[in-house]
Amino acid sequence: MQHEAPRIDADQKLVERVQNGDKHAFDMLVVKYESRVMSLVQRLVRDHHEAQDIAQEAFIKAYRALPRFRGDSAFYTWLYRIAVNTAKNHLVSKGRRPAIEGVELEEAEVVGIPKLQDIDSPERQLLRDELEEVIYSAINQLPDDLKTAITLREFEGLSYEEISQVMDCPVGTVRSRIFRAREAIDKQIRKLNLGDKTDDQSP
Amino acid sequence: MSETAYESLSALMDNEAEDLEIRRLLRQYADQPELQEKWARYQLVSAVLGGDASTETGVNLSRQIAQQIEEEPCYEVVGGRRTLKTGRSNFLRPMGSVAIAASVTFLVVFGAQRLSVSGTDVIPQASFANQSELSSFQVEQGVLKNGGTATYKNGYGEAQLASTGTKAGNLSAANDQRAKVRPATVKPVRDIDLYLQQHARNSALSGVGGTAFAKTAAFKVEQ
Repeated sequence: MQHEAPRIDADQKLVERVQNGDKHAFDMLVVKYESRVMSLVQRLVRDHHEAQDIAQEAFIKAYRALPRFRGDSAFYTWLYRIAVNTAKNHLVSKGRRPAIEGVELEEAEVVGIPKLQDIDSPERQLLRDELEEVIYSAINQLPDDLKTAITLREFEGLSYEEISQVMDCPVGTVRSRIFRAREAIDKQIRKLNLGDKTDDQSP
Repeated sequence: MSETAYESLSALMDNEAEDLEIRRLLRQYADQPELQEKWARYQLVSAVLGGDASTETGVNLSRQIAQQIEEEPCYEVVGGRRTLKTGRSNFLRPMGSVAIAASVTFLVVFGAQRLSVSGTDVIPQASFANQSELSSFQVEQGVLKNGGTATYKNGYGEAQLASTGTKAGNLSAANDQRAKVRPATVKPVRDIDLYLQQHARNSALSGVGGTAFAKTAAFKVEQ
């Protein structure tokens, strides 16, 4: 995923805010990574409610360990490692084995772990498919300038400066176009009422 | 909610937000649920577009985590060092200090009262009882004056107490009187120590000074 690299600095800024006493910055990091951490943990423990507890614990551990986070690695790499270790410890305490033996971070992210679709409930699988459909449909309906801007940003991982060169427009315009594209997609997503459909559902 | 804030949020998604924008966003973030929801949806879209097809949809751990984090200390940088400070309101700090001070005061007063009482009635009687019990244990008990040093002999050994002998001797005599009244039972060694300490305390209070207690502390049991 090419777009991950530039995010490191954004995370670092939020981490620094947390380290300076701003707890809301950590809340933003939680929101940013909760679905991905949850997805990762659920692939290890399989049970949805257990995964929620473990993901929650992982975030709390991360908060407590944050003063020791020096930024040598990306925040999400560090966070994923905490989540994997928390899941492993949980399974050990229960006398169980991970869904996949010898799970390492790279494996957790890329290979060796069953796709969530394989272990997920049909309802959530359906919801995820619906979400993807709505997003791609919304992008296809965007005006060309917005579609190009959001595509270069999300799929190619280009910075605003790079996009401005490609599109031959000011950086401020790129910023505005990407924002408007996101708003158009967001307008369609809101119709899904994701929170209402997914709360307290378990496989 | 202004579009400016949402645009800043979008820029933050892409690491293109300025520090000032981030600070402004964070200030608004706490009080604006719509901003929080927007941030969550932006992230979800980004995850799906980023190829994370297994992204969990509708995960909402942030509320519970935020509640727990609220109980955690938050961080602050003091003199270049990152330290912890309590997450609770500052006005509670003095109350905590007052509570600790009150507890310490209570312990000191209560302890002093106990010592005061033990210095007069309660402990000596217990000591006398112990001593009488010792006598039933067939030990040689009494005060032998050796140039200002009172030597207690009993079945457990011999203890030397610094004393002028006079008042210690009176005390010992009184002990002997009470010992005759008390029934004899077996008591452990700690009772002897209590008695010796009490005796030393009385000696010290009578003007001898702290030497008696110091010697008591150095008490060694001789077999």
